[in-house]
Amino acid sequence: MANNASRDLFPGALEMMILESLRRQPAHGYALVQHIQQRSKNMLQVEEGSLYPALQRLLKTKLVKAEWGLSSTNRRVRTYQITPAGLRHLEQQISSFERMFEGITLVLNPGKATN
Amino acid sequence: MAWIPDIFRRREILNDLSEEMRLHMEERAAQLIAEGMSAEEADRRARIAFGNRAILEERSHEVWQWPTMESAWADVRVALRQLRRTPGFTVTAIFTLALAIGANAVVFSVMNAFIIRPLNVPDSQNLYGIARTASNDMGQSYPDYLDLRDRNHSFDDLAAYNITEAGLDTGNNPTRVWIEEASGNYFDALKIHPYLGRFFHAADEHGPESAPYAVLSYAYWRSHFHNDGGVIGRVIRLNKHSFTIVGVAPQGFNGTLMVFIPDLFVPLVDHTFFGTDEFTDRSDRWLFMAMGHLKTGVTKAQAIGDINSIAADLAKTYPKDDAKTTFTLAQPSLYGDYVGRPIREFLTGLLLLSGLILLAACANLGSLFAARAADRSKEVALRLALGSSRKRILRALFTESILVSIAGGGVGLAGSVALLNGLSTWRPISRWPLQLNVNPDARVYAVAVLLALVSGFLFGAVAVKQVLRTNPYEVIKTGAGGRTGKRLTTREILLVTQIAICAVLVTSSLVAIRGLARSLHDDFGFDVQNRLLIGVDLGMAAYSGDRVPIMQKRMIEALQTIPGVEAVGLADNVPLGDSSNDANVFTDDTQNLTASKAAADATVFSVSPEYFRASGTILKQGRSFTWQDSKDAPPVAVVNGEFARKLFGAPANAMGRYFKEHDGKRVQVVGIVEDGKYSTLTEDPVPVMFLPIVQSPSVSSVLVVQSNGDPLRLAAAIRSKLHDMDSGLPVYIQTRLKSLDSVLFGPRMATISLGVLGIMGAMLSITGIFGMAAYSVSRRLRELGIRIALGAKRKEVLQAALGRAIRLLAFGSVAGLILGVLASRVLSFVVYEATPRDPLVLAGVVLAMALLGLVATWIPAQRALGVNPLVLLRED
Repeated sequence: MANNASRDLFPGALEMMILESLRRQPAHGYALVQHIQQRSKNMLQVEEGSLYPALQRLLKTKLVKAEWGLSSTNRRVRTYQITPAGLRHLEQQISSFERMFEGITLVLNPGKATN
Repeated sequence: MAWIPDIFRRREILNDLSEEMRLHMEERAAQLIAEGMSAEEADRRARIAFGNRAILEERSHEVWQWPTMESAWADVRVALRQLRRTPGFTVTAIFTLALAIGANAVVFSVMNAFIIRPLNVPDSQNLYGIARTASNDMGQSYPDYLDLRDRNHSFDDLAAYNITEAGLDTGNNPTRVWIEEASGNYFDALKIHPYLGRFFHAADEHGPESAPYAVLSYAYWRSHFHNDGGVIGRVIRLNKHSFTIVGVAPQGFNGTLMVFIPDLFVPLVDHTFFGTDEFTDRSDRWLFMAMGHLKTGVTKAQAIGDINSIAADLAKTYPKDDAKTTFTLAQPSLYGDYVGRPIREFLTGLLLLSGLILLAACANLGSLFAARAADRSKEVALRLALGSSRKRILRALFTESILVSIAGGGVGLAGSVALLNGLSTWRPISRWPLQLNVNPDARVYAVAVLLALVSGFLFGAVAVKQVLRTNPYEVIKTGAGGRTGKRLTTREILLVTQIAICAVLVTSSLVAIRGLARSLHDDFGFDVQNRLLIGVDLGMAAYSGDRVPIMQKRMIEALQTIPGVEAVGLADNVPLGDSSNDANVFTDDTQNLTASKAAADATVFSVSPEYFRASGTILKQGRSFTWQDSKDAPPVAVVNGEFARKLFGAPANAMGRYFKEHDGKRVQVVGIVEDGKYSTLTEDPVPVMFLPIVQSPSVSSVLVVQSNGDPLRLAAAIRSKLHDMDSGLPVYIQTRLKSLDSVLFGPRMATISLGVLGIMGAMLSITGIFGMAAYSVSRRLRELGIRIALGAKRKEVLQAALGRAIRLLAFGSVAGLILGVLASRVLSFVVYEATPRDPLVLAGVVLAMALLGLVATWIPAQRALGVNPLVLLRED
């Protein structure tokens, strides 16, 4: 597991990104990976498969729901959709993430923050 | 519990996932091919990009594996460890709950046996007995029964039975047995089939004394005929009349009257062998009950209408005997409402009480758990601060309470099963074939388990409130601080109520115990020490007419020759015995001898000359009888003080005076004896006359023997002496004290149940006070530590820690004592000489409550005194 990229993410980050992607539009696993990689300009090298345990966790906690169907390219796909509970969860996560990020920034740049 | 459906959906979920992953790689490969890569290379790259599929799949599976189950098991292990760490707490909690659950299981089981569980006959919910609306009883005369049986259109068949005692002779050992005299159609109407041989049927009846057949009950066949299949066809003698054993009733069939266990069944038409009642007398309602199954399609209301139209007809045809008769239908198992209603009311009361006990136990356990949670508030706060969810912590707490409730329920159930099994084999009154079949069944187990779990949730929930309020920040900053308001909390009010109820129970049980103890040493009007009663019903050996007094005199003389016998008397019945006769008596100048003119309704005993000496009844004035007071001599009587007061104004006036019996016979009073107790211990003074047995003969005979030592030592000699005189005469020997079992049954039961309730109340109060004291000590531990550090004395520390608990205890006890004294007046109706105005009782209550307080506060007090301020302050 030399390049397990998700290990470098903090816990919950992947789920947060999945939820954020799904908020924009429902998608299947492959599309989600594409989306995350594109949006991060390939800065986050997410191992494609690591998406699936995260998706299972979200399914189990009912933050997303899934349905089999056909994609626009006529492939059989399982499309994920965010639930209302998922939306709420995402908002909480984002705000706490922002606060944490702010805190970290303050610590890393003490001079800027006090002035 | 959302994981339960997940378990069943797991295969589907995993298949979906596998398929999804495969499709993902396919899509990636297709993309790469579209970008111009070879199929092989694209496949390889797609797999690399995806990562280790096996591991990823496994990690996805883990999401769905029974995490709840696993973490629940972890919770259980942690809870067990926590409970083991505080054995005092754990044992107290389990014991409290065991008592409460046990009490409920016992009460429910009794209720189940008496009311819920149906009679052990087919189609029992459709079996009804005919009850009289006016008197609530179910007695019928034989002619009325025949009319009801033959003229109704509602019953499949109407059976009848009567209960009596008989002398059974199977060879050389005559014994007394309880028999059910059953109508010929009895077994067929009940739709039961014999275990062995056959039953008797309606076709066997051809008028009085025509069907000499007997059916043994299964239990009697096992215990007295040793499971011998060869008994069918054997001839036995009942009251000296030959009967052929034709069958054995099925196991578990004990007639249709609950509690009563007959030994054998004989046809009703043979009744003249066992009693003096007439088949043709419409006024003599000697049949115990008539009953049957309603026809299919006939409602209860229709059937009542039907039998009442017969009743109206009977009332018209026989106005002297059946005037104003109306019937209703009632359950036969508890003799309709006559026995059923008091039993139902009593059991409902008990059920309510035991429910209250359980609630109180839950409340107490709740405060125990709350105290525990308060002790651990720091731990809880720390866990909350470290990100543990409240749900998780609550689950841990609930696991503890559920474990305690399961353990408590198990112990309680085991105890109650033991108790119930004991009760089921217990014969409360040795003379009578009464047995309480209260064996627990699946229903009882289910109820106990359910109650235990519900209580676990209930008392666990008390601690929950506390955890939900915990603010980790505050707790860590200040410690579990102490709000010590003056306001009484709900919990405290509950506790005071409990203490008060406990004090009431302790008071009344002490009153009952004292009353019972005193009544055992009381003046019954006879002596119980060194006295034996020997029941010899001469009717059971077919004595009649002149042979009766001759045999009675011979028996008295024979027993007098036995060494160790001081005196022998004989009576038809004895005071506080199984039965007694009464008769109207009139003053000598009364001319119109109708019941309304009677001076008294006197209890009558026919006794032999030596009776008073043998039974220890003190003759106050005059003389006892002699054998010269014979049939041809002038009628004489010995009366008690109350009789003398009723008829002659005062005992002093009575000697030598005359009174009249209802037939106009003038009887002279030749002696006066002390007043005594004749049918119950709590009765008001009863007028009693003793008549010479020669002048008013009776086949029913009880010999009273006074011995000069342990009377039971004489039993064997007496038995063999009587056996020599008539080997076919059943003899029943018991001490005079033992014979009081039936009259002491009520007071004893009242005392025992009050005692049990008192102990339970005390246990609950102890856990209640303990819980509250422990709680207040642990909340104020820091404050106490500071006080000690500042030099507070032990007394002051204790006052601060336990003052409130002690005050509540004192308040509750005083209230309970006052209520208990008031309640004990009611008790005096059941227990003779029960009075709360007894210094010993009052001192006992105070002592008991003080002891209770001491026990309950001992551990918290030790803890409060043992506070080490240094350790405490360092911890903070």
